[in-house]
Amino acid sequence: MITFISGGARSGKSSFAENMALTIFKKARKTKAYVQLLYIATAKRSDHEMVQRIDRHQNERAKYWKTIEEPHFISKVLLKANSEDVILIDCLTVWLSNMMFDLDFNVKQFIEAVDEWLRIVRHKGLSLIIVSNDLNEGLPQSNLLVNDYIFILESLHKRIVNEADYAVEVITGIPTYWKGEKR
Amino acid sequence: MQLVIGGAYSGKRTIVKQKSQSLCWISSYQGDRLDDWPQKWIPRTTLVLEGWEKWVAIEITHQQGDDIIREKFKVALKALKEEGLKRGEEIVLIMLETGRGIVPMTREDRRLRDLSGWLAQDAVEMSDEVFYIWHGLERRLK
Repeated sequence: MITFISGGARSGKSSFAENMALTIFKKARKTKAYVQLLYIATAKRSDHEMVQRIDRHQNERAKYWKTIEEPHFISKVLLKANSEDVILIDCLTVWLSNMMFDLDFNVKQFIEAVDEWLRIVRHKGLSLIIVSNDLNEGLPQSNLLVNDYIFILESLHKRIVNEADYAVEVITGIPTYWKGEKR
Repeated sequence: MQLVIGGAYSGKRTIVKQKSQSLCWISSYQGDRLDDWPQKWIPRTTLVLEGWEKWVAIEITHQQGDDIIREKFKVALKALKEEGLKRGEEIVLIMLETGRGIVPMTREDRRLRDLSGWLAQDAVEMSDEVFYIWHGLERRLK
């Protein structure tokens, strides 16, 4: 099952996504003891502030979640997961910057990478929840790099939303279901 | 008359192309001017006008006040609507949502954002149907 969740900064999308993942996990766990709840953290431990933020988030999630720090190779994590695991990626925008700046990916490579995630999810029966950010509704940027970034981000959003079973926009913690029935 | 509004690269054009087989495009991205439509609108086609933020930006360079520019666009929208009714053909306005980012650094960009927002409000007022596009999906707002 594929779920796409997006909204503005501090819209409550991460909490909403975590609650959704936890609910799916608890339900699955009742009958299947092998199911894990995985959190793919895309942020890098770049400086002291990030280390503190990451540690705080991990402690908050400690009870049920297994956190995997993977700034680049999401497919690797998905391939290693048990079938039917519940997996949250937060956030697609951070992963996109990592790939653009560290590995110089182009739009075609990005689409191939995301298509591969979605294929693995379907094949292994995983529940994947992807959190992202609506960054395309401001004034167009004359900076070419920023413009490229938004173009690629939107290409991925459209791809994921098209494949998704659920697409949810979150505003102040309140979900609007663009795709799929409210759960 | 319909308004299709959404963020950059959100899939507005793709959705409009699904609405009708015969579309006549007036696009600022292709160098068209807004007042090209009376000459370029091919009979028995749906008229699509896109790239309004560029037409607004051009007006801003002409050293006019905000109210004058807003009024100019209102008059243009009214003329479009009337011609659409006269011909019995559909008109689709594609507009870019530009109001949900941080405040632009320059005065010109702030004016562009204000005027684009007002234009969208006026277009909503005049349109019979309004659609908001989000990552390739559409929702009818009016």
